[in-house]
Amino acid sequence: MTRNRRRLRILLIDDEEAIRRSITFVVRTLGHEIVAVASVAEGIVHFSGSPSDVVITDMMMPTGSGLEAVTRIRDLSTAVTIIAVSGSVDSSGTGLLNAARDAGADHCLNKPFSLSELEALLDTVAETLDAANDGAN
Amino acid sequence: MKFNAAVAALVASGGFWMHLKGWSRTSAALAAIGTFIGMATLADLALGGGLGTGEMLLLDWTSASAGMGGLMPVAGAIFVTTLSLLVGAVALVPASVLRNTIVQVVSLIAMAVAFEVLAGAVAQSGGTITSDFPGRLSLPGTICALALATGIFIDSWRSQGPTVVDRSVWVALLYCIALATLDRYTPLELNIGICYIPLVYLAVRAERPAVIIDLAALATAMILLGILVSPRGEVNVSIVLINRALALVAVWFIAFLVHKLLVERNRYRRAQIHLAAAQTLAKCGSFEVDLVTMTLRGSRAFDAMHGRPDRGEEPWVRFVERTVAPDDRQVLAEVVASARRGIATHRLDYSFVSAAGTARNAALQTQLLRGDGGGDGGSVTGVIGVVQDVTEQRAADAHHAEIEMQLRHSQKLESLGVLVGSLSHDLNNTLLPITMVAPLLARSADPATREGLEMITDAAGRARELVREILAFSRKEATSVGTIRLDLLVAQAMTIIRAGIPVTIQIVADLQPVPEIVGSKGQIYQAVLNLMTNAAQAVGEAGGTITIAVDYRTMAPNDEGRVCLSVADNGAGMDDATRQRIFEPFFTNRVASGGTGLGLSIVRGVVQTHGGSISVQSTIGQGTRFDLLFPPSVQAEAT
Repeated sequence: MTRNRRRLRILLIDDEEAIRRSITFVVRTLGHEIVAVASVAEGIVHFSGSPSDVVITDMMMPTGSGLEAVTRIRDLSTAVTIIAVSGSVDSSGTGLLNAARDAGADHCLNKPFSLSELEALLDTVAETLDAANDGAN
Repeated sequence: MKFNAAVAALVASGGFWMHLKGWSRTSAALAAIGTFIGMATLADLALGGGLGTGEMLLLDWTSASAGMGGLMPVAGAIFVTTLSLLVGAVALVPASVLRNTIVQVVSLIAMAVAFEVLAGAVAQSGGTITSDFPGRLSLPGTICALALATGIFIDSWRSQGPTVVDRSVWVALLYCIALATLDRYTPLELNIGICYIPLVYLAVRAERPAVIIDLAALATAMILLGILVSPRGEVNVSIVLINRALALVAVWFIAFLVHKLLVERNRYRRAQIHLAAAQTLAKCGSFEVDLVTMTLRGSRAFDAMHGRPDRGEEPWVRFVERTVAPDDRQVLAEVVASARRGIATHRLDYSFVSAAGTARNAALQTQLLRGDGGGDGGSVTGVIGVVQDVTEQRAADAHHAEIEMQLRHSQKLESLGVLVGSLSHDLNNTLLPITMVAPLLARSADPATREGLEMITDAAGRARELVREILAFSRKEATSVGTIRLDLLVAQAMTIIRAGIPVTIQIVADLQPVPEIVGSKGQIYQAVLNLMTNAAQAVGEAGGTITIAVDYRTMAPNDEGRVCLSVADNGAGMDDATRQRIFEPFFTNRVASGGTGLGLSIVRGVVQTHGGSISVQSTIGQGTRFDLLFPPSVQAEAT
């Protein structure tokens, strides 16, 4: 894994402090830029200001519906890759993830996902963007 | 002599009475007899008395019509024939406008004829009825015939409701009997007296107080008529009047007494019927124990309940020994002993053997019976007990309690499921930093640190699996669903199953090809694994056999079949108390060996999620067998 990866700009929306800290730490270590916010409103404000390549949003937050975040960000940009994350793997969680997919999310992850799962996903996004750039060039 | 007239009227009125009682055939038979008598008489008269039947019948009319040529005997014979035919018509032909019209017209004619005969008799006697009036003895017969014709007419008029007519027929009938038994020289007072006795008797038998009043009115009429008729014309008028006045008083006094008696008796009987109905419906019975003779007497319901068909008195001690359960005899004996000391029993539960020989539960209450009018001051002479059969009530109570317990249990499980759902969410969030950060750090760490970080990652992975398992238990795990062939699934899993079970235990697999079921492979696999682990622990290290079988069964004719997966061991087995609780979450009897108590709960949860059912049979020392039944995805075609 020594190839030169694209540096992704990532927006993380999650109400849990521990999640924001750990994902921020991991993503930075993997060599990407990340901004972590605690609410959907903040996330949308940030995204409007500086669009990201990837948005990772929790689906169940007391500060706002993850579904709303997916919908509004997809409205703002068709290029962004949206990863929906759910903490509960029961039927309501599955339902939320399905709804997120319908609303425009590209990928879904169940918590607690492993490092390799996230890494693989980000690699795929980076490669796709690279390929698009190459094609454009 | 007068006997003849009486018999004729008796037959006809008897026939009519039968009709009123609804005995149509008997009525018709009597009508036929009456018709025969009338026809025979007519034939006899036509042949100039050659048959001799005229001697037997209607002689009174023959003699009464002495001054009227040969017409009266013929009229009398026709009269009786007509009445009998009328009775037959009323009995046999259903009521209709035509029948009623004919019957009414004919009975009116019969009444007219009867009046004619009476008028003729009076005219013949010159307007005064004397002792030597030749038609005197035919008078009652004629009057009865008149009453009968009137009765038939009224009955036909109303078509239904025999009550009014009934009485007139009674009068005719009874008076005919009286006439038939009395000698022509019997004094009229005695006539009345002898008639009145059977009348009162019949009124009592009929249990209708109104009848006795009617009879008294009738007797009064007869007495007054007796004064008018003054039969011998030779008696002292004042004595006659005094006698008649005394007779009137006697008649009304008797009528009053009998009426009162009948009213009271009817009320008493009604109360008895009500009491019996109330006791039967309430599954109650009552009894009385006489403290002097120490004998028991029960109500009908009580006797039926306790198998006392004779309903007589029974020594209290013998009753207790015969019916009450041995354990309860002492307390029941105490009831009577307490009553002696003036203490009533408020509630006592005991068991007894019913008439059918089954054990029943009863609740008993008693009340003391005191002498001297029953006041509180009197000494206790007896005790009244009311027993209620509460067997069904008890069973219902127990059933209710059990349902309530089950409900509470399932509520507990429900709240546990909710708790587990939210807890797993929090746990997943908490685990995420570990599953993310630890492996990341391990990449750039020195070997020793990496080893430590890998331990942490593994532990977090196990924790994640545990969360999934608990979620599976709360049946909220999102799983992929597809069609499964259970026999193939078990066959594929055998290697892994075998690996987890001590080699001292033999595993026998009997896998028949079965239809597919719909479900989650992972869950079913988990269930099988749990059952096998459970069986292995039941068998123990010492060794034994576990049989795992898959087949397709049809439970009942016309019922859809089920795919059955069964796991049986020949291990220790378990008692009923354990067997009833094994599916409860956190129930385990292997605390020491690290049982979580979730294994079989998960199995049951999986089976229920798949619309199946689970049953367990176990015998201590012989082993345990679990049967899991699943509905097939598509109903197997009938072959």
